[in-house]
Amino acid sequence: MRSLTDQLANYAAYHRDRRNVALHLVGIPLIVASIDVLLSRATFTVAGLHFTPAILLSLIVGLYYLLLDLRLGFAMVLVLAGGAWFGRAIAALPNPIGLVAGIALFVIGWIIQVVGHLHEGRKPAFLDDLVGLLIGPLFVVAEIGFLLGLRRDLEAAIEARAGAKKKGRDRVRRRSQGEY
Amino acid sequence: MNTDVAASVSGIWLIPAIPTAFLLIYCIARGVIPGRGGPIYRAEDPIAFWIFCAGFAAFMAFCVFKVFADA
Repeated sequence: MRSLTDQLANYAAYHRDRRNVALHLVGIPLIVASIDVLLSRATFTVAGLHFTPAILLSLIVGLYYLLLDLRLGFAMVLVLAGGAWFGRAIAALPNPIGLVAGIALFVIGWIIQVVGHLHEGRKPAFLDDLVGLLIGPLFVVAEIGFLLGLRRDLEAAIEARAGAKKKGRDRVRRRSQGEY
Repeated sequence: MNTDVAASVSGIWLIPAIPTAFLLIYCIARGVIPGRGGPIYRAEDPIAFWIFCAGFAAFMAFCVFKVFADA
């Protein structure tokens, strides 16, 4: 199994434009929220405990994040738990509000992602490796942690492999100089 | 052990719909972005590309229709 640094550095290599990273900080949470909403419409009661597909998916994905890194994984478990709660709350709204909200969040989230990658000038990571779909939410939480000054060692390790983030103007200048 | 199982199946069709939506996005993105092409790269095999896209879109639409119909 690839390490946390391997996964984040590989994902970060596709996200070096600051505008793309900023858009991902919005787009990925919207997509995750939409999946939570849409997978919370069906409920199962087993031995008195209520489950939704969103909770089951969160448990599996949360376990994967914990295996990658305990501290970041714990943060992800909190995020996933909040998402599952949010999803159930929205899904429980009268029909068809919950369903339409879930679909709208999904579409808006992906539009934001596409705009981000147009700025980046590079295709999304999941086109080369489907694991990128799982690493996206982890990347968002890690980036928020970096913005808060946490895990500097991890940030440095990622930048050593993927390179530093670039401003849009830097990219335009470098592109005009024929570096792209 | 108590094995009582109850289920509310409203929205059960969203479970296959979501992976299908991701497959459709994957197919479209792989189809229109040059590079690693393969059978779904539109410029190499437009018929396969449209069959993939139409198939995923049709199944996704069917799933969403079922959810609306069951609601």
